[in-house]
Amino acid sequence: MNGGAVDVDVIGTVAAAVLTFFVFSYLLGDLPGLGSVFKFFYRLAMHVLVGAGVGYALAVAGWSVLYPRVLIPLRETLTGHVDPTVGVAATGVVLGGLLLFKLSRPLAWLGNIATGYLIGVGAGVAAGGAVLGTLFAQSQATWTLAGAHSLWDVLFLVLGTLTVFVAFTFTATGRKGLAGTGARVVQVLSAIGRVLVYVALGAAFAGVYVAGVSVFIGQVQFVLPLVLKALSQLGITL
Amino acid sequence: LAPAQLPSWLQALTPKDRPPAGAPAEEEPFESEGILAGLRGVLPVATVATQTLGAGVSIRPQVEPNDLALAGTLQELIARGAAPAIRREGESRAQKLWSNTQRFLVFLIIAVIAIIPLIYSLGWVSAPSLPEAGNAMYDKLQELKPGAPVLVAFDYEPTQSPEMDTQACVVMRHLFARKAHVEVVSLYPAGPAAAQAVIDQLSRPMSDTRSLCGTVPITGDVDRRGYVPGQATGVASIVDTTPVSTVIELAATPDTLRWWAEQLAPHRNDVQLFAGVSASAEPMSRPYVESQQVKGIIAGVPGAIAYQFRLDPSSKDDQTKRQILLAPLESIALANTALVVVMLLGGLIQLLSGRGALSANERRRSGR
Repeated sequence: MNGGAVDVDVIGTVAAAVLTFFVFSYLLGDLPGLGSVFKFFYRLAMHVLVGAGVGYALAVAGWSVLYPRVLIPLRETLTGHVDPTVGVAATGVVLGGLLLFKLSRPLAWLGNIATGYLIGVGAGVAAGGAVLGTLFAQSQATWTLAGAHSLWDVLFLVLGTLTVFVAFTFTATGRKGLAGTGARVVQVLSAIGRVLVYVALGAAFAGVYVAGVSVFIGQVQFVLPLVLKALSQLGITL
Repeated sequence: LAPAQLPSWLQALTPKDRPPAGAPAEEEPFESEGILAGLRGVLPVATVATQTLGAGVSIRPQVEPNDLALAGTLQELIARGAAPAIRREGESRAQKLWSNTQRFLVFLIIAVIAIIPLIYSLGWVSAPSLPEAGNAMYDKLQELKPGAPVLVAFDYEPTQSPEMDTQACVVMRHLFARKAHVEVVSLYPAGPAAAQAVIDQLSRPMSDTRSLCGTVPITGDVDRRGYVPGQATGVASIVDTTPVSTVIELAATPDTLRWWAEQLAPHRNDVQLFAGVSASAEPMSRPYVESQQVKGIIAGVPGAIAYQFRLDPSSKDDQTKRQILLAPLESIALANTALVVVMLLGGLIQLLSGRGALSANERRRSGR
């Protein structure tokens, strides 16, 4: 309180703390008797999250995208000052308008023009970037042994890359003679490659776990001062 | 995988009849087993493309009652949707409650152990040193001249803020200290709000705080460009229209970092890309660091804390600052240790109770 006015930050902090406890109440959702009450709190928090998220995204799309990029250029042009970006804005309005025809079954084909444009541009940009930015760049990094500082690094990099490639070999092979020997070599390399894939997936999972714990700790750090303050007012000091 | 059994109605559809003896010979062999049995040359695409469907196959399957019952069960499952109460075969309500309680206990153990260092500093963890890629990022940002334009992309949602804000705080504090001209952008609608929260937090004197953003207020020259729609297309448009030489991507997922790395490659060779990523995004981001497409990176809360120690070396000697910075690291370390202990104990109990062996049902399914 500042001179009778409630501090908005305090309200926000308290609301965030309460919603945090609502989310954690999911863990008590299976308790007999009170379980349904805790589940209700959890669902309430989820509904608030989804509703606020969608509402905020709509407001941002309107205020940060439609207003400055469409409405302002059109308004300026209508008042006599031709905005150089009005062509782009008008094209966007037309394509966006065509998308609305998707709501009507007989006229849905008109929306396909906008959808085709979106998919075409999106796929073109993404494919170009993927080829130049990932496929070429990563292949180049592999054959130049980027990141290798010692002979062991080089061996691990080369063998690791090759065996992981071999792990994705799914061809039928012979069982006798030279073909059989080749098949057994491929099997061994493939097994090593699969182990490396498991290690990579394990590292990814460990990262997800650490991120989850970090988010939990961050949220506890946010709520903790409030809880400690409330406890101290009750005469409990930790 | 165990070999699957085709249901009878599907087997009835397979054209097993060979063509009459007088029919002209073809080069492709017959398929002798499986659902394609009796068909000739179905796998080569060219043959399939030039074939027309004949009228010789009768599609009148005889569906057996067992198959009908299975189809009914499937239909019921689909109609019921995602029902939460799926109980294992033969599991009573008490057993389900016990397994849920076990999960709750695991959470409780890890949560309590993680919270303790946030209240009482244990002093078990020493100040971490910044890895090579983190040092590279610090050194390059340290070279920025006053007014140098830097684009910072806040590509995370508020749900990831507790982890990502720590990195955003140390990076923005460094940029403000270098008096760089910061342009803030986001590929997510909620990203600009996350950016504003970090900027506000940095600009306010905060007492009684445990935040890694620090207590000394700092402000800087910030240009808010807001939300840019279009994902990879949006990145391409930013790269084409923004005259910056340094981009810092704060990424909660590897996808957004990949978009930046991929779109900078064909458009701009003069831009240096740095990243602050979530711990979950680090493994998938590493290849771009090794290939030098990303010139420097800090990962997770530990990376942010190490960066803060490099940014403010006096924190190592100041007891209060040191405790605030190291508390989350102690929490993470203890939570990880607790998880390992719980996993080992769980495995041991499982082994001793004989429940680690496969049940008869599982043995039948795995074909052993």
